[in-house]
Amino acid sequence: MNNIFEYNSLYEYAISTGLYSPTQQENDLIRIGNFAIDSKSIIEKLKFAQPKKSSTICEHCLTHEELTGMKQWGELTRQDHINWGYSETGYASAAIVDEDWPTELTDIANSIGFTEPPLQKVLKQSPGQMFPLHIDVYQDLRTEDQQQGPDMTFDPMIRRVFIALNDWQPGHFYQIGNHSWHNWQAGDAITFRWGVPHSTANSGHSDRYTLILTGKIDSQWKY
Amino acid sequence: MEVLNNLLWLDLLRNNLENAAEKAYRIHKLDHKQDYKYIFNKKLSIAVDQSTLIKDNFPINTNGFDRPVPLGVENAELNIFRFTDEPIVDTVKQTIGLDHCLVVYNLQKPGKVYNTHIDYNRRFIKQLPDTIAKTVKAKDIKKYIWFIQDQQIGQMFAVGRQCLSWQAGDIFSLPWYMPHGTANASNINRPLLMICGI
Repeated sequence: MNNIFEYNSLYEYAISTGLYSPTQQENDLIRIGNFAIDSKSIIEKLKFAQPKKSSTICEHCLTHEELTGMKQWGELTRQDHINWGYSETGYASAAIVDEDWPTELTDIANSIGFTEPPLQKVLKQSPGQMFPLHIDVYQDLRTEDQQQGPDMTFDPMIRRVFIALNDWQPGHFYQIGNHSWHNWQAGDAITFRWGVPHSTANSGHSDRYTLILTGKIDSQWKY
Repeated sequence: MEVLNNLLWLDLLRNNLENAAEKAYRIHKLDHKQDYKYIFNKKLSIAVDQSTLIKDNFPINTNGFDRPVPLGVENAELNIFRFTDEPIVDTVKQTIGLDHCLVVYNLQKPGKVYNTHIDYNRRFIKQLPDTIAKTVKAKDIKKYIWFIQDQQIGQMFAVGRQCLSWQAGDIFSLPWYMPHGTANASNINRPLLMICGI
């Protein structure tokens, strides 16, 4: 087991432990296929909270460790971003999950092969917003105790799937490991190995909507 | 396309370059799948005094010509240095084969985007002798991107419908009407040379 807290950076952890290699040519991005969706109708039903500032970048905020005396994986991401010179940047707005949540999204979520209904999230990234390079810690699926523990070993039964809810436009960036995802059509779905650093940005002229599913899979999972 | 290519650049700057570029790009897409051309690779060693860099975030007016400001411009920023008579200008002219050019060192810091846009080349036109500036047509304008360092994970450069992958020394060209935009979500600065010439 690698003690995550012996590393100063989650990105360095990913490289040091072989989760990601800047020089590898293998495909970091796994294409699942396309779901037929009515993009306009889905997006019209979604309600969005205020644009979220990445708490990981807030230089003046107390860290989890300062607040609780305990380290937490997410803090390493925050520290990465501070060390890399990021100032506080809006990264996206999350859609509010309520009774009007589009049933089409739940139908897709339940059809991919997760063993239980996965967590659903829709992010809207507007022009000018960016989500800096990071690796996922799947905090919604790990307990507080797990996140404060030294063992961040990948749980191979957890997967995250990204589904584009609107067509790609120039300036919509999705970089996953050493590969760029672009030219997608609404309904295109991808996934990637845990531990692959990724980032997104929108330098385009229109909002970009993505459905993000996170859940448990079993050995029958096709992708 | 020929009509658009033969329009005088100064006239386009005065009369809706955006519309002309949009039309030209629409026509381009009918005939071409590729929105940029890979020229060749030539490593370039270049040192720029970082204290001389100035911020560029879509100036509305330059040399008397206006341009629209795109959505999301609040987070747009490049740090640039315009070479004038430094040896690098001659190197660029000789390497690419240009009579006149404006060479701009263009550094994008982590966390910054530069929204998708077309280039107005207002400074380049301004620096040309008047007699030449008045005759420059759209098709005469040549645009090049010369990467100085290898691409790092999180560094992104979109040209039209494509995203570039690059290594240090790679030179790409794009036509005058081609929209392009960048973002740097990585952990290090991204330097390049942006070149406009005839």
